[in-house]
Amino acid sequence: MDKTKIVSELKPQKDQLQKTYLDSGLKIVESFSKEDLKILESIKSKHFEDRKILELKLRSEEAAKQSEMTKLISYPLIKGNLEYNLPHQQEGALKILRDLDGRALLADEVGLGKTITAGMVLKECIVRGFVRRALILTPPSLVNQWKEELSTKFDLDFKEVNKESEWENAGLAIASIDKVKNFNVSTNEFKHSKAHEIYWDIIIIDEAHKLKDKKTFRWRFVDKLQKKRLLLLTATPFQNDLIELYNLLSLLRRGHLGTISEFRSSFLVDGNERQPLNPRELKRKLSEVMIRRRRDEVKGIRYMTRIPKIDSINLSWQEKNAYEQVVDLLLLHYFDFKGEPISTNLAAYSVLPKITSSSKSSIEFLENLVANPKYHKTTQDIAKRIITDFKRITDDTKIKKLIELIHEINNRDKDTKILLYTKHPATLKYISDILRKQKFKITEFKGGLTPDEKTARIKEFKEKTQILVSTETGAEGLNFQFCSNLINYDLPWNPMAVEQRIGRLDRIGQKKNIFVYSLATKGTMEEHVVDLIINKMCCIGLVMGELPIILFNMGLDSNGQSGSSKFEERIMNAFLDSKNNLHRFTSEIDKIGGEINKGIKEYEQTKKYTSQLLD
Amino acid sequence: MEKANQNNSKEFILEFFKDSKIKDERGVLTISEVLPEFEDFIGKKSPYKLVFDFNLHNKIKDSELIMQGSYFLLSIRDYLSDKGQTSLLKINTTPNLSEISKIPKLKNCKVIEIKQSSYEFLSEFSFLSNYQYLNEKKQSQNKILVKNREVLNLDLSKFKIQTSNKDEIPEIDLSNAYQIAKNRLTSNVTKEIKPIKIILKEKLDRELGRIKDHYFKQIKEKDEEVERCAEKIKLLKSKLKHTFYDRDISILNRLIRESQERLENLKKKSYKSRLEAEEKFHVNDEVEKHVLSIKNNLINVTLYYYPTYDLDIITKGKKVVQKYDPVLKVIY
Repeated sequence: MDKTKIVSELKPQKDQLQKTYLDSGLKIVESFSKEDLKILESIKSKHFEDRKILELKLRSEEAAKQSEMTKLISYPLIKGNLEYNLPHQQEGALKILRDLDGRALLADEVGLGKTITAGMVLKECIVRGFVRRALILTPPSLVNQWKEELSTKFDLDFKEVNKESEWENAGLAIASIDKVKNFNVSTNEFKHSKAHEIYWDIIIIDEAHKLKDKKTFRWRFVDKLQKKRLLLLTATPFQNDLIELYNLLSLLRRGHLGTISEFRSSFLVDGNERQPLNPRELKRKLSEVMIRRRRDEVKGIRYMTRIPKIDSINLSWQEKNAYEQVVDLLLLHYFDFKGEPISTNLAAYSVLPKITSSSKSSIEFLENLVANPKYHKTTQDIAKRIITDFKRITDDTKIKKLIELIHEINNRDKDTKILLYTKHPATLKYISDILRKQKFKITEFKGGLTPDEKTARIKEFKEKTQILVSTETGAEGLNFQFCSNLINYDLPWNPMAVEQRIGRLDRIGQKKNIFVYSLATKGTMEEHVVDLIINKMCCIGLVMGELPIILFNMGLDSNGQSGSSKFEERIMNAFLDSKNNLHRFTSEIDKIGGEINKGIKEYEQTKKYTSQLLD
Repeated sequence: MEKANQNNSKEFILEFFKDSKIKDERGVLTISEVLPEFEDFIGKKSPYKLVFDFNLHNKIKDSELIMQGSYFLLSIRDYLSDKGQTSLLKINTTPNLSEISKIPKLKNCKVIEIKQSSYEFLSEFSFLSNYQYLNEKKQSQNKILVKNREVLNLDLSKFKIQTSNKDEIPEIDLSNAYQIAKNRLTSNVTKEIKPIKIILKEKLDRELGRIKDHYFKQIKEKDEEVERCAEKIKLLKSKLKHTFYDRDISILNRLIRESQERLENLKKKSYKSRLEAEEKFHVNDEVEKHVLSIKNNLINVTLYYYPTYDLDIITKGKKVVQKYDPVLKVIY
């Protein structure tokens, strides 16, 4: 059924004759439909229908009449799209709508699906006709994930707002909070002040703990939004002190905790903003606006462990030589046709991932360079020489290691499935060809497949083949919880992208612990990056969804000047600054690792502190 | 209650699809051979597997769960929304002589002949009103019968209806009658929303009380801060008058300067107008949140027509002709 039509409530209500008036302070909007006049015209032109249709119509109105808010009438519409029925999500959505009038702080622990609960609230409001204009504000890195979930799970098509002019037509809008909160000091206005002119039926703010400080533009931007319903999502509503909690609740219900002086005298131990004076009373006040559930009290979810394994590859001297030559070419001899050096930054971002992926993608890069007249002859001559060197290499150590690894996995469990990731289509084809020759049963999965093709290939992987070789664009948003082995043939230097890869397997419904294998060339910079991202970030026991919060807290989740993620940018810059000096590169990577570790520790402390007060 | 709703929904579905093929097996209604117009509207070809039980819905693949307000029922309602908007019904009114004779106005008269005269018209406006507030929705139906600029309180169900013929009636403009019906609807709606208004008003007053109290206190706290600051300056200045040591004078001057700066700062930020503007914003937000929206839709106009009669009457020895309306039972 075409559920994008939803119901008539979503249709624009232009054909209304409206009257608005105040009745003892209460605003009443009464309207008649302009369509009424058409009916009078039909009578005039003697156009009549069978009266029995009216009886049927009245019965249809009765049957379609929505029940009181005791259950989610929209749930059957989305049930088929959700992987699991977790009752706490429906209960939460109902409580928000029925008991909290749609203004709530949803503070469930990470991993319980706050996004799904918020989506249920949204869908229910739309189906019941309460919401026409909705706004979702998320951290930059989560905009696409939200859009995808709303589309695939809730059949809701949200439009991303980037420019100010886009607000006018945004019925269902989503935006990065970091982008829209920008303040223009010269005009003394928010750049996206148009958002403040709209009366929103519902606003959802993800990772709302960033709204802890009243003085920030972020807080002020949200406070100025006109809204009927407001949902703040965060597992840690305060980090450093209880004033942050006060500020957050001020957005929800002004004065709910009194004035700041009253709050201090009623709820804080004198001189200590972390220590609640009257925790029981504070908890009671919070329960009027907040929902919080802990993982250990929710049934039906099992959390599996991620087991990291980095497989180091000892390159042959020929391979190592070829690799070094490409790095040198990039750092020292990368010229345009005029002989001007091409920005090494640009080269690093676009080329480095290719040369660390496979000899095949290195050769592809070099061949393109030779064939392209925009490069200088010197560069092209060097490239030709390296190609010759590459072609002399008879053994591919990395692919050999991969085959060994697959056998090792099979020895452990011969019926297990493997999701094998690479960033580059050229590498994908190369791997697939070799694995097929080795008689492995594989399915290829890459970008550009139609939805039907995707479905067919997932089915093939589930039922017939053992290995799915995929690029991330191919498998974005798909669920493979029936598979528990992931091999990173190459690794994105962006932990969020790695998290997305692992997220295909590490989701509700996964029954086994997840093995995360990563191939890394020994003695290269790649080895250190893989160690940082896998061992120190993605596989340290965090629950799915926690790493993005940590990066968001550290301001590392948005894109940097190059357009790549800030984290990736820092690693690339470390590569460039090191001038191919491994020692220098390693010390910079250690520094980044130290910062990440600090961020993780702070997050863990915040969780502990939140739990002490709220649970 | 739930069971009764399910039965009603099922009966309605059976009625709606009565011209289609229906198979009722183990709690699943399979509807096929559905009108293509409906299939196009709903965006899915029949057969439709309809179930009325949530657990069964989980077991039957591709089934549609039918429950009060469910998507399928909403779709049927939307499909019917522009249908059945006008009807023409003819009331059968064969006059009965003995009944006419009982009319008080004809007490001392003798009716000698009854002849069919012209047609009279009644228009019945059926309105559907939807009330929406907070996260609640309520609905009411109103049928308003209008004749000659008057709303009638008349039960037409006791009359027999016969086949109508649109050629028997002239072109009729119901604009005036519609206005009258609308006015009556507005008055009915006003009565219907009374309990809703009480609930909403109570909630709104509570929320506005919280906001007003909050800002009252905030402004008071700020005022007190200003007062304290001014007092402090006064006190420091008076101390200064009685101080003779250079070191103390310098300290007092510094303290006065700091307090004055603080006072200036407080005043400069015009906290009062800022807080008042904030209060206005939040009050407005709450008023908007507690808005009661009433949507009235005319869903059908039924035009009733019936013949009136000329009565030949002998009264006080004279023959006169009087008109008789058999529906309103009046002589005029």
